[in-house]
Amino acid sequence: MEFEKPVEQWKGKVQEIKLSDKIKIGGEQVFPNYSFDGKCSNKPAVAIEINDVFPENWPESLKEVWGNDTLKYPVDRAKKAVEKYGADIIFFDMIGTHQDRENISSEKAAENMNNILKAVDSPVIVRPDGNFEKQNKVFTKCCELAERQIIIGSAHEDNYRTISASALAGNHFLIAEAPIDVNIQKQLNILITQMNFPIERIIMDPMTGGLGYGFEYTYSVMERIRLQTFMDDPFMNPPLICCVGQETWKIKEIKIEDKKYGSKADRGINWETTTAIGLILSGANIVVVRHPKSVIKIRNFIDSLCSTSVK
Amino acid sequence: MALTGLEIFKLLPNKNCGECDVPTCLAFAMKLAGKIAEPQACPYISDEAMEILGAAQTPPIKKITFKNGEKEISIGAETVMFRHEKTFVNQTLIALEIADNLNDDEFENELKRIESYKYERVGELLEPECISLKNESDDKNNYLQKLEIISSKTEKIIILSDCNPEIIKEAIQLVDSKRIILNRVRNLEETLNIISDTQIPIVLNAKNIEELLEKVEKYEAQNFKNIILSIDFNNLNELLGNNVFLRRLSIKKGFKSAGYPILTECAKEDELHSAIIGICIYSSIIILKEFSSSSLFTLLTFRQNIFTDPQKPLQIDAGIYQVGEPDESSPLIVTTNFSLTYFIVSGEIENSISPAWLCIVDAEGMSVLTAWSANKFSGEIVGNAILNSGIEGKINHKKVIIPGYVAIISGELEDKLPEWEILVGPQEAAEIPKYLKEIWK
Ligand code: B12
Ligand code: SF4
Repeated sequence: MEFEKPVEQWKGKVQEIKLSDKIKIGGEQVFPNYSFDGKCSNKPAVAIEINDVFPENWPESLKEVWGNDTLKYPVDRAKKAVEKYGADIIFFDMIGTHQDRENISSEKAAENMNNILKAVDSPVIVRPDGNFEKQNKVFTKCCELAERQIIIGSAHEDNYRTISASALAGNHFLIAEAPIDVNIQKQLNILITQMNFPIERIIMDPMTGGLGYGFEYTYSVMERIRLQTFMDDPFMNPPLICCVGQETWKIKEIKIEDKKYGSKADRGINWETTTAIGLILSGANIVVVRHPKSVIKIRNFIDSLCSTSVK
Repeated sequence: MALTGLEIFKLLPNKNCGECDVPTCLAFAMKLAGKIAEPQACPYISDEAMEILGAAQTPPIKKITFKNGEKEISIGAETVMFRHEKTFVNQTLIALEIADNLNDDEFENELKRIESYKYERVGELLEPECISLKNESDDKNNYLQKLEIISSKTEKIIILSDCNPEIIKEAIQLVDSKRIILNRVRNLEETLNIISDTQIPIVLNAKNIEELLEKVEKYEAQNFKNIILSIDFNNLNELLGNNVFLRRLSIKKGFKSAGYPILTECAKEDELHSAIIGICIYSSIIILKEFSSSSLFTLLTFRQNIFTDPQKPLQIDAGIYQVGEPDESSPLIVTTNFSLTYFIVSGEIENSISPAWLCIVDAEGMSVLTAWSANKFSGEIVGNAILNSGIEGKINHKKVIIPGYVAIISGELEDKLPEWEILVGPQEAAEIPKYLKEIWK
């Protein structure tokens, strides 16, 4: 049968970012793992989320795998995440800095961060919590005092100045977060680069809802972002990160106690894995998860998906 | 191939009479090109134009329709590469496989298990629609007996897998031909003779695209129309590549032989993984061999997400809804008309012991916070919705509970409803039962 393989070649390319000696992300010139079209470059990376304080509202099954003792100590968590569970990247979500929670000071937050940076050699994403005023204080301190290069998040449309300036001064990477919206994302990237922050050091967070809670909007927004990347839009080529764990483990469907829905523990892992895989298929370069078994399953998926050598 | 607006315009009568509900033929042509109108809406359109437009409107991927109990289910008819371009039309059917060499008890149990996988989510029933009956025994009578059990005890579409022509010949006498698909037939030529005057869909299996398209051309020439495509794969990358190439060939290159629905037999080791690719990337049927309720429920939700129309979120009509049997002293709760929000909130009210009146505000199908950000759930809008709902005649109090996430609208709402007491509920719907118990005595 005579036919030409309908290969599609694009001009644009996702920015490749070297996060550490071992971990590089992005660089692809094709839709996620369309190796039959062209160069796929780096595999998507899997990040594990850890916190600065004990995560009370995690479901029991999740607390159990980690162990309550480990969960109390951020450094232990980071080590376990990397050494035992095989995280490529640590996502340090500092929920304890929120003014209505433990209200951890910016100095203390920076110290917590440095302890993590010392304990593991993987790239570390640092994200404070709280109102903009509080976040700004923490951003500034962390960027200033970090003992090595970090990835700091998140710059928003309404609050990108302080964080962009701090990240620039400290030579860090920056996450730009927009609410599931292609145009706002582009606008934000432009605003940040207008502050002289290099586009080569931006990672985009398109925001995601969990499966069943807005996942499908993110799925399509990421495909649209990538279409713009490949059509060579210079402001739309940063890699994409999706925070899957925090959207998964709070939803109702994984808490139902009913035989019909299968084992509750497995359901949580399946939900997290499925959301992450769906997002990888639509362009995520980093997925952030919580359960160690999800990491293994997502890795297996990535390996099989990337198994054809690039022609 | 799709026609442009101008090409369509040339086919129209150019009377500009407006009977198609737009003022001019040109405007109508544009609507047709955008696929937001049907050619039948113009009463003066010529037969010839109708034919051309009809052909141009036939989706590049063949539609095949099955009977599923009282309902009809279709596959194919897809028109786009990405769901944001329009929408994916017919959702991927999920088939669970069962082998015929189980003994009678095991078989009945397995069947019961499969039938129990039914879930309700956001007002929709989620379930696998097909059963694949695999011929392992190679014993005709046994196979037919198992087939009869499935066809009488379920309404699912049945995939006859690995059968030889002798079995097929009798099987198709037993079951409604609108309910079966033939997969991995052992002797294709002979089977085709048997089904040549039926409409039974047949899967053409191949090792690669070239081989597949050759087969398709051959059988198209023999007038087989209900073809389904299937290519073996060694890893997920091959699955992805084959599906993408087939879809591109049919949609972008107008390659007719690639324009049929695809069936994917999920790889055993990482079944969930191939299933997810199949659902996102163009498979019309996936067959699962090992399945548990926890993975199926996840997968069914995933499918529901991918196949919602990205241009219109699932929404329900605005107005007053009753949850349980509320009376004049029952609480009044407001929320938006986004289906997901409605089903979560009404579900939680059902979980509480208190029946309630639920006032659904038209927020263009957006969630509470999304609607608030888009100014579709302001104090003004919520207030008007309550005043216009006619609820005042039904209750003997003037208290309304608003979602915790929009506590911020309570001031504006008080201005709008000066005689009312505005109660700010909890943020998460799961807290509603506890909240009602405490506050509504
Ligand atoms: C999916 C999504 C969208 C989708 C729309 C989905 C839809 N149909 O609504 C899209 C992509 C279109 C979208 C758009 C926007 N979005 Co949006 N979106 C989301 C996302 C990810 C999930 C929303 C969702 O579906 N939630 C699930 C439903 C069920 O939640 P819910 O309706 O709130 O109901 C819950 C509770 O409120 C409670 N509840 C509901 N009713 C009631 C009633 C009572 C009495 C009680 C007690 C409880 C209760 O029960 C439910 C379960 O607990 C959220 C972030 C997130 N992860 O939540 C952002 C989010 C809501 N979006 C946001 C924004 C800013 C926007 C935009 C304005 C961005 C923009 N400028 O374009 C637009 C606005 C829309 C527009 N202009 O067209 C913000 C809102 C920020 C804020 N605090 O105001 C959020 C929170 C993201 C963020 N952190 O920035 N969004
Ligand atoms: S009804 Fe037909 S003839 Fe009349 S304006 Fe519409 S397209 Fe033209």
